[in-house]
Amino acid sequence: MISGALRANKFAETPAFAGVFAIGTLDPYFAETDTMAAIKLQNYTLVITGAPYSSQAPQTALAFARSAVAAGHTLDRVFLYGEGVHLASALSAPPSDETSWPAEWARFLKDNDIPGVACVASALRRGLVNESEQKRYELPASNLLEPFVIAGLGEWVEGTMASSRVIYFHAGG
Amino acid sequence: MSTLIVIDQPPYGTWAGREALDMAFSLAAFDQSVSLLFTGAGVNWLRKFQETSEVEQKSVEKNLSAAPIFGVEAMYADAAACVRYRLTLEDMVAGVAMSESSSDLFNQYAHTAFAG
Repeated sequence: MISGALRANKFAETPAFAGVFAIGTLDPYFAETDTMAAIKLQNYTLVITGAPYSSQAPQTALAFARSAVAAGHTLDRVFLYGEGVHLASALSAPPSDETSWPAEWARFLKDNDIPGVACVASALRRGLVNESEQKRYELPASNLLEPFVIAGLGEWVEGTMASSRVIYFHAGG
Repeated sequence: MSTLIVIDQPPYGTWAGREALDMAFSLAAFDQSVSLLFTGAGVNWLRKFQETSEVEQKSVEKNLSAAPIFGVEAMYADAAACVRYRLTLEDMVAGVAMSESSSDLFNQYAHTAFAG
């Protein structure tokens, strides 16, 4: 079995891996200590910048997140940035034979009590709003999926400070 | 903790670079050490006299000139990419330093983030 931490390192060594193009706070120490006993538990912040249904980023991030949690690691928060904010849309309605990635992510975050934050500047540009932003900008609807919240980039900064590793899931291409 | 934000895509084609720049400004606003590296086609961000009215976008030049004011510590241009795009320091906005080896630069930072 491969742990979340080791898997993260594998991603770092193979940047062509779908959706993962940048790794934060790299620790080359892991490459040399390839045994289960040497694995220390990490606290991750995940940043998703690729949208569902146009990139693989949300799926790759969810697979990583599930593996990390299963291996005993913790997720400090998940930050949606740029196109990634579409993952927090309550109005996404894929065909019934396709996975709803917003719904899957929302369930995972709730089940594991992990904060999911969409960047407010990214969200407003792309039509992703909660009720207070709807009122503020006098928009006809709100569409933020629970348990996601909307907040500023300061949440990402805080994540980089609070967690031992930050991993970015980009659209690539 | 020091962060290097890497912009490797040209301006105007996507929003990724602008959003990466916002990340840098945000770190600086929280008094975190942050620098920028422009590499690959991303070095085109640094060109002087960008005329963007035809593509109906704001020029990124103004954002870049604000970087030192907002507390971004350094702006680096990858030297090899500059050669490829025929850019010299004279063609670029003020305050840019050439980086001969991106890998040496990466090693100086605890945290690295690429523009999507």
